[in-house]
Amino acid sequence: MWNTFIIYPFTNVLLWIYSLLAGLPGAFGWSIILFTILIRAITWPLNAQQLKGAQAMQELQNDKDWQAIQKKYAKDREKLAQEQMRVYKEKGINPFGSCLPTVIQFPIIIGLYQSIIRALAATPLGLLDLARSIYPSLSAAALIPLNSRFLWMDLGRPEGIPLPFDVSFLPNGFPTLALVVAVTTFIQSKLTMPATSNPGDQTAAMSNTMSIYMPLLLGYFALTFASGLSVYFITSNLLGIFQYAVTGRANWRNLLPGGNKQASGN
Amino acid sequence: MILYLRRNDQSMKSKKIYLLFAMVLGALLLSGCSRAGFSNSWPGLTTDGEIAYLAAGQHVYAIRLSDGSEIWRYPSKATSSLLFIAKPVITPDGMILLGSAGSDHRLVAIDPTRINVETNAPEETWIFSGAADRWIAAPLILGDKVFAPNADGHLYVLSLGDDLTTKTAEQKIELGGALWAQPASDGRLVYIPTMNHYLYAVDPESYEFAWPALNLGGAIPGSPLVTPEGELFLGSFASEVVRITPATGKMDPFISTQGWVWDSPTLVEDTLYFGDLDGYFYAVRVSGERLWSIQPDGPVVGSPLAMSDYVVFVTESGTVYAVDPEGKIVWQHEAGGQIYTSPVTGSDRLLVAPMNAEFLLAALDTNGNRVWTFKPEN
Repeated sequence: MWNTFIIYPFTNVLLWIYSLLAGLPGAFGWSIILFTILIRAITWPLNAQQLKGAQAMQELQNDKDWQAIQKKYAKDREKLAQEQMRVYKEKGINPFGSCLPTVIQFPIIIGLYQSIIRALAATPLGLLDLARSIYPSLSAAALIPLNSRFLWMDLGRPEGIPLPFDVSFLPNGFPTLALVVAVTTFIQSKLTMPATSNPGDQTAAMSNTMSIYMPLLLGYFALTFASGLSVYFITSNLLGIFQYAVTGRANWRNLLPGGNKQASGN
Repeated sequence: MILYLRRNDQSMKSKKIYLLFAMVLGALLLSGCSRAGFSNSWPGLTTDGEIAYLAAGQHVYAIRLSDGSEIWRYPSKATSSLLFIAKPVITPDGMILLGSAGSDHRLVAIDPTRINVETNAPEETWIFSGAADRWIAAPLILGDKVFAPNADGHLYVLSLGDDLTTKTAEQKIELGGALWAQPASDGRLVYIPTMNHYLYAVDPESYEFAWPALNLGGAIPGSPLVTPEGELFLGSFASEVVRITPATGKMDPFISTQGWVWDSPTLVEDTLYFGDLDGYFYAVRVSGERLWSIQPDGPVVGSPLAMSDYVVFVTESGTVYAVDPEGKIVWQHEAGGQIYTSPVTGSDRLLVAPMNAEFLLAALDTNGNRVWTFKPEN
């Protein structure tokens, strides 16, 4: 099921893009970038919906009715939750809408990672798995093996720029890509954080938590796993930032210290 | 207010725990994927007629053919950096060459006559650590030289004539593309297939290319067959087997196949036997006359094994087949798991090494009956 609906299509799309770019230096890296753009284009409406939801949540913080509810039912948690749900319903807001793109990201990340490893086929068994994953319409014999080099990286291995000295916890060298992944993830998370003046607002607190944990987690992934995955992360983050910017929903002030509170004052 | 804050705080904590749980789950899933790629490849198997040497992941086992008992294992304790999948190779002076496909890219020669009494593992005679990638293919011994193909795209030539315990490459020949197949030789040239579709012919003395590399149109994970008449036969992912005349470097189509051809054909008298990944098994005369083909029950990866009256081949479905020259199945044995490793024979035993079975090695008699199985005790 997972292979049929996620791994095989992902792998074949990657190979198909690679076949179009064959001959270009770093073709597999470009394939991952184009694949990410494709995924972003498909999930654009979903992300747009999430942005809309985040904006609605932001506006809700300044809503008098909302603030009155918070004050009135501060001591009655159940009643407060009921009233909050009523307001969400009335205003057509999904309080968990902002989490959905992140949740959807996980199967894509896992699927893409498996597809990259499968497409690069670093072992005999991996090559055998790849052989049975390829759709007959692709003339794969001419494509295989894929060239895993992209810029200074081997996309099938963790990235690192060699250091002139040994560092035990950095066996692959200086992790440039992992840092770029962490920074771009942080920026993207911060840009979409709803501004709030309410210290008890759970959505804002959740977003705040995500903006700390996600860069660390994705940075760890980039440090540990094949660098092809890092290329996906960085491309996806940059596209996300671009989307927020062009739709005018990027909260640039959030990048400044205390910017979240400052924005809420507006 | 305090109660509200406490409840709110608890709610936040539980959400953070869920979030962390999801992230850790994701990390574990990814970790699982990456591990699966490197440690799970089929074993390499060889025998000297009395002992089987099985390269099966973190250990290489020496197994007595008479009863399937373990004699020793190398290394004595498993380490995550050493993984063995390449077929062990026995040198003329009795050393065993082992290449690691783990993060430690060592090619090591061990001496099975020098067993460490504390670890019960053979001592290392020499080590070569000059390769940049994994050893997936077995090296070729030619005279006093080792021709070792590495996944970094280089053929390393080492000398067996010195007493160095740390070897350096006498020659490093860049071929481009990963090398997954054991080179073959007719004594005059060394033939090296590469995964980037080319076959190279190198003079073992001057290291010069005998002729321009031949493009087979698909990856070549298997070794060429060198016939007594001096011809080469080689299959590839271009779904065909080609015939090559070494004197001129001329390549001619021999036979088209249904699927990709992985390992080398086996010659019995004037007939070539080989399988493909679509599960077909072929018998074709050297003249090019197609005799027959059968499609038993799964992809055929390993090379067939010639026995006295029949040919044995194995399938991914875990079955061992014995077929006679007419293509009739003489016997079949359900070994279990998946079998990709080429079967070998010694001391009237037929050895098969499945993956994902309850054992690592099984010995069959000449009628396909199981004699013993080998499963490491720990």
